[in-house]
Amino acid sequence: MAFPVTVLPELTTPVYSVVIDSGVLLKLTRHTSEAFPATVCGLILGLDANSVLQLTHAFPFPPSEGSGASGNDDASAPRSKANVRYQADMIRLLKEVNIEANPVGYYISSYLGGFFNQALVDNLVALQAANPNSIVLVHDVTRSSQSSVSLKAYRLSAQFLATNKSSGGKFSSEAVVKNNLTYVDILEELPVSIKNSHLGTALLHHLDSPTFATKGDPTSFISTSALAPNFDSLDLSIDPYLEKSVEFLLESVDDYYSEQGTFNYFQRQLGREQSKIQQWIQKTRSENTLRERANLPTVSEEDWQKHFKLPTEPSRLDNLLISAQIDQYCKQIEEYSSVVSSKMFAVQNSLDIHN
Amino acid sequence: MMTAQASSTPTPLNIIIHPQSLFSILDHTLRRNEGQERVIGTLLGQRSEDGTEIEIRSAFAVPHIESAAQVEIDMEYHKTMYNLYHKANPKEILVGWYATSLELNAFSALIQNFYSSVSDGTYPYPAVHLTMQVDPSSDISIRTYISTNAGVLPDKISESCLFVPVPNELRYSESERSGLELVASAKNNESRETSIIGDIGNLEKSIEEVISMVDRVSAYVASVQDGTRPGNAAIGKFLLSNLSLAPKIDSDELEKLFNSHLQDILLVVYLSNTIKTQMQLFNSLKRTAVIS
Repeated sequence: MAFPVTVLPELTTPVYSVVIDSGVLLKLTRHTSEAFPATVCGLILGLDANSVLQLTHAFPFPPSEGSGASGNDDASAPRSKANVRYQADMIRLLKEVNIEANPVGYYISSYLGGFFNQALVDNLVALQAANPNSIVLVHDVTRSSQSSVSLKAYRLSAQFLATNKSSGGKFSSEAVVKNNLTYVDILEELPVSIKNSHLGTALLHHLDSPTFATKGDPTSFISTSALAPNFDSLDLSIDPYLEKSVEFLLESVDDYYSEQGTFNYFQRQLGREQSKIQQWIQKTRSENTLRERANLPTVSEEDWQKHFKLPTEPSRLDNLLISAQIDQYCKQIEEYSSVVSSKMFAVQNSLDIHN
Repeated sequence: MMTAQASSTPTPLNIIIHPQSLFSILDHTLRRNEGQERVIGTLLGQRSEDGTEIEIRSAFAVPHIESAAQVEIDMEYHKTMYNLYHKANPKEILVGWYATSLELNAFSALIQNFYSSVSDGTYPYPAVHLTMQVDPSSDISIRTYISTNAGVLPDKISESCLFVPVPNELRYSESERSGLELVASAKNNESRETSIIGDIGNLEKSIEEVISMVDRVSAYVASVQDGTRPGNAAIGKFLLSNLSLAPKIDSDELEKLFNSHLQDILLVVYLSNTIKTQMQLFNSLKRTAVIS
């Protein structure tokens, strides 16, 4: 898969891939899966060098007070005042133990892929202003429990940032079209790989060895090693996951239509105002001819601005986000169904053989 | 069985370690300053209701300076860091400390006493001490201890204690398991690196593993039948009992259920495809509307 080249303003070299330390991965997955179904987030520290972003440490943000009602408070956590202080304290302490004090992004947990919201955009814009190589790591908890770990790294694309800057955060239709921004281009994905340190590899081998097997029945033949392979992915039932995904998808489509409704309302209003302005201009034009004959000062046609006010165009950002969200849900359903249908066909074949 | 005494504090009988804490400890070892032989830090976790089981969930490093004559730990650092950690994870409390060398000397006793102290230690519960040998030349071994007083002279009581080993085991939850598996898949690679494979890749890997297991078993059974290998009655019974677990279902019923399930999935895929195409259509229409 080819990744688009981003042009960065300063001297930072762009990164094209992300390398995660094994300890960070474990910490992250544990934090997000324990807080399930609430969404949580935390900060990631690391280094960007040689066009690779290395994530070496991460810590979670404390849950904000009063966030029991809405999960949105947690999503904007990286920028709340209390958390900025927490972050500064934490980084200062970690520096003393030789951990790089360089925030390079943040991680969030998502429930079935629903993470496209205003908070995400705000956080990333702030982070990328400080460090253009910042990323957001999205960990999908429900998918990780079904099959392999679902961890993706994203960052805002150059087109999105340019649109944001040129329209001052308003995202008018003109700016969107000029910068060639479609909902598919909002985020760009970076490939993620996992790296173990030498000691970590030694530990993994040690965990796998039979001497470390947990206490079990010595006459049983079931391997109780800590790293025994996990065959849950061969399970055939998928209904709850698919059901929930479709539910979310339909909800997003409803949101899309309501947002579309507001935009249509704006367009109708604009049309009405413009027709009123045209009428007024006609009237002044005819009045002007009369006044010229009577040698009275003419009223300029440009004066319509004093009498009429055009409605302001609503931001197209919501529309873009909802479309991207719908796209994400569709993609997930497709990916998941492809796995399930392969399993079904495989089982069907083997059943036919025995029948 | 131990008889419970009214005045004694419960002693832990079992210690459960989460793999994430071990990785944190290793990470800290890698980042130690020049000349430091061992590093120490704090362990956080949870204690069970009756105090007999302690769970170690995470760890953070505490800077310390050690010389032949004395040892210095930055206690302020420990306190501030613990408060920060506690804010983010209110359920985790102080349960002990770790060191990365297996030896237990007088300094260990001093540090142990600090961690068990009344003011901000683990009193009245005993503090757990975890030692992990991270010397690359030998195997990694993890030992856990709790301390009891073994004072000989009253003025030296703070420097002496008896470390009693406690059995430990490694445990992890379902969600951590896939993460651990992913991390472990890199352990045989030269570059120690692995990338995140998608669902289909995962499915392929699992199926390949099952096929290889079935191959091994069938080769074994064939060799026993040929007489080239002595059969083991226990293994034979185990295999037989497992193979008879396949359920007996009416084939028509099964086919009906199967097809309806398959149809459901295909319906959903079709729906999501139409939605996606419609979105793309909307998008391009919008753009032409603005431009024209």
